[in-house]
Amino acid sequence: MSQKDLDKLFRDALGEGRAEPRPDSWARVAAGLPSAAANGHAKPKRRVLWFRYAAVASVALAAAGLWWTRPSDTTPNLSVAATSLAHEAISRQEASLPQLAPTAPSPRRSSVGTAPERLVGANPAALSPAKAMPNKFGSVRAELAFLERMSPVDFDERVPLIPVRERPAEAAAYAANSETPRRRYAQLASNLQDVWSLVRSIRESEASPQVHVEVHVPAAVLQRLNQTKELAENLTESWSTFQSKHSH
Amino acid sequence: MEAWYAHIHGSLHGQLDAQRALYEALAPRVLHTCKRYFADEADAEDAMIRTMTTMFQQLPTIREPKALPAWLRRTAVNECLMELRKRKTERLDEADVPEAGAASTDALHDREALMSVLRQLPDGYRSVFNLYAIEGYSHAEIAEQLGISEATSKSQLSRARQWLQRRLTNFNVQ
Repeated sequence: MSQKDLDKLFRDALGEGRAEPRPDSWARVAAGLPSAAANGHAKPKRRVLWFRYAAVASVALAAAGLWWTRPSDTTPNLSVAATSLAHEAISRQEASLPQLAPTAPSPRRSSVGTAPERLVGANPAALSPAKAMPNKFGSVRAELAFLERMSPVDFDERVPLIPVRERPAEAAAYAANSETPRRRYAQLASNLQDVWSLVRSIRESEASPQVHVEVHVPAAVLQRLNQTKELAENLTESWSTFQSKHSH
Repeated sequence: MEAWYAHIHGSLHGQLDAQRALYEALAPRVLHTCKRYFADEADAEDAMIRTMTTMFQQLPTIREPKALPAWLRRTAVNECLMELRKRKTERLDEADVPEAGAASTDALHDREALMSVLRQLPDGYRSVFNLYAIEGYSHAEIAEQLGISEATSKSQLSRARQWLQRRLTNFNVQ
């Protein structure tokens, strides 16, 4: 008998089959079942005071949430300047511009303003006193903290960065503090994205208004932002778009 | 659709009669599998009971009743191998293998007789032969299951076959 035949002989004969267990086997199996099933009736369950645990958990969660969202100096503020820049003013104050964002190590700046114009983008009276502050351009900078992602439309409504065709506009986004909490990076990145989107829409409008964009992001924050691939890609794309348009 | 499918629902809800019916339908298959791995009837019975207990505990996770027999068989084999590993089955040399003497029956094609012959093999040989020839495992899988090398698996299978061949030859079966 060949090896294959031998294997087949045993496989065919013993591969499938039945062997009757001893009568007491079921009792042993039943003894291993959960008590309710084995006994055929359930014991009264011990009442668990789950609501106490739930209350404690709720309080803990609420406390954690409050702590997480607490206002602090580390909250990233995005400052959006809605001004038309006077070219002369820029020339005059070029040397002092790097200090726009106090903690920004290397603020980037580019300007495409071409002619002195009066301030048109933002109306100081329209802003609350607490949110309006003069900047070194002699214009008004609206300091806003965006804690939720805003669509360009909302952005338009809430921020005096109005794509008025005949008016050049300037948008500047700041993250002044490098100690921004980790959770806020995504928020900051999306807000920056909103800025880019709006700027792009302005630039692509028929009137082709000149747009000046400043982004002041501490290197540490930018590094963290870049760790989020998708957001980093968005930023890169928008920045590239801007740069390419700017070069023309 | 097999008749025992109907008892799954009741078993899941802890109905003892349904559980017993399911046990009576499936336990004989499990015991048959376990008997191939143990020389001693009681050991096979113990492995069957552990397998069935596991089945009732895991029943909520088994979605397809059709898959239950295959699951049971795998679990039974694992239970048997686990028990054999606990005993630290010694790998025997050729000299340690019992002589393939005369069998008590000439009806070699009878299942009981073949089962009897198989169970006379040493544990190590029997495990490898079962897993390879009957369960269809590869040597690599057997080596992993038993914690031995593939070469050991192959040599034990070869020796098991030789032993069985001699045994069958004694019964004039070619």
